[in-house]
Amino acid sequence: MSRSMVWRLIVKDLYLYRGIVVLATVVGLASLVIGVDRQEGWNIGAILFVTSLVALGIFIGMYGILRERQERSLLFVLSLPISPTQYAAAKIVSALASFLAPWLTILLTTLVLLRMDDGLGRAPQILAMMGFFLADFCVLLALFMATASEKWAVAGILLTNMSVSVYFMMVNSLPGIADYLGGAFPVWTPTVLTVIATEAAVSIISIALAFYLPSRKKDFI
Amino acid sequence: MSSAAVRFDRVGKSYKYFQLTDLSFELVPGQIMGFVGPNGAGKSTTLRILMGLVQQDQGEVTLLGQPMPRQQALAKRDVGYVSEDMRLYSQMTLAWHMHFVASIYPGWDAQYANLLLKRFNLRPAQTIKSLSHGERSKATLLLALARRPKLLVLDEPTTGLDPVARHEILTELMDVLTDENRSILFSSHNTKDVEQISDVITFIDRGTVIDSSDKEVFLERWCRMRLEFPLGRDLPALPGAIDTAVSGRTAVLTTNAFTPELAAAYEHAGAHVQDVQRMTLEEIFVATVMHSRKERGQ
Repeated sequence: MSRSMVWRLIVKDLYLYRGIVVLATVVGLASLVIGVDRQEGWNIGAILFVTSLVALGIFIGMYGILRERQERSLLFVLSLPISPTQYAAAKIVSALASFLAPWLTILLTTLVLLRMDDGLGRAPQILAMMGFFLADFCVLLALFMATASEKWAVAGILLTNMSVSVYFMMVNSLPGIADYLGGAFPVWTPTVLTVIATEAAVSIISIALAFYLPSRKKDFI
Repeated sequence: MSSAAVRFDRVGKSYKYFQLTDLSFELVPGQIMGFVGPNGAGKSTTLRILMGLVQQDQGEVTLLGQPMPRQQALAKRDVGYVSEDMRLYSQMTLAWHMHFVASIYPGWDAQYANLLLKRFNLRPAQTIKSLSHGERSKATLLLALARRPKLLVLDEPTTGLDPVARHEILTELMDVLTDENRSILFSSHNTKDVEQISDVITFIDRGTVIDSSDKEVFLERWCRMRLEFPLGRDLPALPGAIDTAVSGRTAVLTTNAFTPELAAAYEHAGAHVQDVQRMTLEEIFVATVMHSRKERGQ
């Protein structure tokens, strides 16, 4: 029953998040269509693109995890035949699934559009950027799973949001990434591979912490 | 494996400004235990330890024969827990919650759930945020009752409800006990509710169980005796006196060990028993708490 309970909680969360997941996917895809216009549309598209993924991550953390604690519906969920560790597992899996669905859809659509435009030279930059959004979300997820404090949550949101600007200012313009954007084929330089590997490591460590930190708690309410 | 529905054995839990100390009590199947204490006595913490939501620092807790919190997923299959501060998902409807809970519990009784909807005058299509406080309490109780649990753990379920809603909930709880294998652990600071439905009463104050007994035993052994004693003689000191208020030749003595033999002993010692008054549970509760605090020097 416990395994099926975890599954039921995942399905429950996916149902609760369905609106924002669909909205983020639609806005993300719309940003690609708008951004195809290399003139005025590009900036609007880029803003919408970043907003859709950042807002999705914040919404899942605030609405799905923090608000469940603050509104005491967590007490209802934990009264069901499930342990707090299983609850945390369900929460992490559903949050990841809810983020990854629009993330993958937007990423694959972007790659298809680049392929159609003979612009696959941008693919490493896009992958590194999407990897950054994923890592950013995983850090936020670990923080929301570890703390019940609204102050820490807000601090985490501010820091991860600021990191988006830092990323675009510093990483996106690195020579190993920026120099090969105009080509028809992707060039996997050591710089871009290092960035992607770092993002993967941050994501994996954050998810491991998201599982580990709640398991150390003695009090869940 | 313990046959008790609930067993606490020397359980302790420390916080910065509060601690539960050496908590021991047992609830046998088929009983309703009223867990009574003032605000901040440790009732909610005790019930949260029982449900595995808070982990004890010391002692053993058994829920339906399962050690807690280790086997909580297994134990909670047969437990319905309702707490005064528990909230359902505000954006979702009651029907969605019923469907969700029914999908988890194979013993979900849809017919009984529909009956409760009618009795509580709830509409399944309503979202939780559109329900009143009383309706939300009844909705939460419906979700716990319709699973037909072996044990109901209720933490202040009637707090903040109007008398009619309280009556509806208490009536439903008494109905549950027509099945003699089902038990209820019911925390409250409202002694009237507890007196109405409990078989056994446990008093808790400042993190310690201060008394536990059958309700009838409490009501029988606690009383106030009005005594008159001759001029120039002190009131005889006999065991069982919790509190004595003397005015002239008359004394009002509160005892937790009343028997006809005690009254006879006072008569024998020279006092005249003018009157013996039974005490309400609320009076007993207050007297027990005050006596316990005095004994502990608090």
